[in-house]
Amino acid sequence: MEIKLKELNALPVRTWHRLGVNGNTVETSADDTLSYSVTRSALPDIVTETNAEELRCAEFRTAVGEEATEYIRRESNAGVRVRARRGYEVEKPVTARYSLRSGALLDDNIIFAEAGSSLTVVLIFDAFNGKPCFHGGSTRIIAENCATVNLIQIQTLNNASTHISDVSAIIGNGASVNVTQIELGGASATVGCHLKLEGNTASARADTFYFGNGDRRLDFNYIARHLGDGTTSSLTASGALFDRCDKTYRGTLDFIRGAAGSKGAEIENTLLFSPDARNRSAPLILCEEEDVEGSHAASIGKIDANKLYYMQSRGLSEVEAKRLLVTAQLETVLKNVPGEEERERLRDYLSGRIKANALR
Amino acid sequence: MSDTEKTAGDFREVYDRRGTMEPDFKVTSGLTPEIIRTISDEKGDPDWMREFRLKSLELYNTIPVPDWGPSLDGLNMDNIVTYVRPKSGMEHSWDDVPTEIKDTFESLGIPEAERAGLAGVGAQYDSEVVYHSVRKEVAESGVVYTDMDSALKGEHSEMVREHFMKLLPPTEHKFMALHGAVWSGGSFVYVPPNVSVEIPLQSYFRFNAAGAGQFEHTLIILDKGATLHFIEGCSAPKYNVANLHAGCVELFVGEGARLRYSTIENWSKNMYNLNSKRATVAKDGAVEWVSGSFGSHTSYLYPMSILRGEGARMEYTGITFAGAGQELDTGAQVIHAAPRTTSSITGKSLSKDGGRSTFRSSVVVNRGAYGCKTSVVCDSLMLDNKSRSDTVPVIDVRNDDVDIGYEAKIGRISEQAIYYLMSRGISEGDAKAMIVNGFAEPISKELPLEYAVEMNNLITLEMSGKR
Repeated sequence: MEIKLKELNALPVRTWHRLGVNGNTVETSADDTLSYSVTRSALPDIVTETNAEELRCAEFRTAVGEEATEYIRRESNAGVRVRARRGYEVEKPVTARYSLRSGALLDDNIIFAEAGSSLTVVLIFDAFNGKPCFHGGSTRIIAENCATVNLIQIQTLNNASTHISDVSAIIGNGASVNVTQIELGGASATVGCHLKLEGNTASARADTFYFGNGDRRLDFNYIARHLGDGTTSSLTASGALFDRCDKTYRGTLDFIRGAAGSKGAEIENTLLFSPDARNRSAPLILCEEEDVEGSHAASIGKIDANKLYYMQSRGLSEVEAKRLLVTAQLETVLKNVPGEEERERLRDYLSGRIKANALR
Repeated sequence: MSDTEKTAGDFREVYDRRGTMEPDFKVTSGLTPEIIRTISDEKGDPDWMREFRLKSLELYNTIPVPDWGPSLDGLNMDNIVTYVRPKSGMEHSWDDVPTEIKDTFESLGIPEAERAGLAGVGAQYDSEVVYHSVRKEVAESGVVYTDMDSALKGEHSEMVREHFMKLLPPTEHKFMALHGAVWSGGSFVYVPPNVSVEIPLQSYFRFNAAGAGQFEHTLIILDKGATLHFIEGCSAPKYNVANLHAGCVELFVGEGARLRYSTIENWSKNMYNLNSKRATVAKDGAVEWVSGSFGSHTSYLYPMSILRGEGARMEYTGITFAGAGQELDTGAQVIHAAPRTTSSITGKSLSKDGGRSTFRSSVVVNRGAYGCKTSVVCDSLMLDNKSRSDTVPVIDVRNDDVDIGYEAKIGRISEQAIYYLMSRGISEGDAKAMIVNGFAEPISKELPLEYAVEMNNLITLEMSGKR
């Protein structure tokens, strides 16, 4: 099947077209036949299945774009749709691990945390054989008053696959949504996250780690939209680019009039390991409220030569030193991933990728 | 320039003064090949320029209006008169300039500033330069400072032809195509090798006609090792119809040369200011932009520096103040096209009374441009809850040997700071004005004293809400 999706990850305020950050197009193909396996954890008693009907009054906004999310929801063939009951803290994470072999996996996920509940959902996407697969995901989150939702998405698709993921959250009074995205694979990854801080004192955090090598194309769009009083957001993206990898990061703090006392912060750290890699960043602050604090900081460059020299003087090879520095970035998001087994798998996976890259 | 004792209302009165003298000639409104030919005939263009204008018009008709940035819906080119010639020749003595025009420039303080400390002055009124002069000792050092029309036809015509709209060609965007078709006036500067012009040159652009456009062209060429500080000023009275300013500034900075380009834009609030500025900088050369954007209804203004030679550098320091009814979209662009080039962009913006201010920037580091350093810092201050302030920066890095720093902050005036000043007997309004002047200090300290005073007065004017 042929898949062409346009106007993905649109920058909330357009700028010069020649810079190529206003949006993205994905054009790919996948086998007509979907083949995958899924391992899902059993739902605890206090978590029930839910469906899109229960979201009909919610006004979600998408970061990846309407065309893509409508396509994913319309053609959906998988998904985790859970609802945590009011006041309950669900200790055990709800996990779904998809291993693709061929075709297009389109998962439409719904995470509904009733007032005062807390829930962690882990979604893992693998594709180990060399066949090009397509993964398109839409995850809608509602965190009612004082609820907490932790979403962890891990993507280790093979080098021929295409990945699109849209996360859209509505966050109520005193509620919080924490999204962790670890993007390690795929030929192309288009990832968007729209965090709508609707309630007073709502909070949101998006922690992202990416690794790009070969001709991988990474395209991110994070938006924190502050509507309620005293809301807080934090967008952090860290990663490393090797070879001819092309990465675009868009991060927007959007303070709507009335969001008094709100604070937003964004940090981007990119390590560059190749003269042929390309890194584009568009960190926006949009503000129509006087009483807010918004800040951005970015650091983009290669490893500090002194740091590398120090590590080599302690007996580490250059590859090992680079591996340590990149995995140190990974550790900052691994703390959000439940289960030592999965954390160890990701450490090994990333180390293997870095070493394999050095040997090429 | 400006008297510090004047009140905000006095300043407004100076800028709002309307000339009543009928123009010597003007074209009809709109844009047609006939109008372009008429402008060309009136100006006595050489053939190549006439062709250039007509081709630019063709381009204008094919290039769309930008689909990003502030709305331009209120600008109807059918209503814009693109060429208005005042009843004045191009004079070298203020005594020869018609009294009304001279009085306008007197009230703006231009002749006084010239006497006090400028190496040369150019003064444009609507579409034509009415006065141009350069100090004898500066001219004797080989510096050429003249109006563009004289340069186009005089002994520097080949140099003009070689450089004219080469940095900013009519294909760049719709309003550069428009500029190519209808440009008139502006200044030409050439500084020979290793000549340092110790005191600034200034060109001042005064817009008087309602419903008209001003399209001056500034072309500055600094040869190897030369230095220059060029100041550009502009103002216009307020009308109830849209006016358009689509000037073009092209700066060629030679090897080891250094150019500072300072601008205080103070257009009236019916103006669409769609100005374009670009510099190319050779090895070890430097361009420094100092920019204050205060007036206009809508502005698109982002000076670009192309660092073509190894070790070239640029600095941009700018402030934008958007008040009621204004949408000012300003910032800077830089392309690091050579190794070990450095850039520093510092943008400050203020929004008040429903004004909308956007800081927009782009930093591109090309492949092979290794060892580059760049820093972008943007601070925005919201002065009330009716206004809007956006920050839209883009950084595009195409190699790994770079040092990139970016910081942006947005917020309001600290209540503690106001409280502290009020506890020392200062009124709330004055306390806010003091804090805002402090916020603007990194820009004002880069300007000559008289211009820093003018900028502070403009801030006071904006803070008073009397514009």
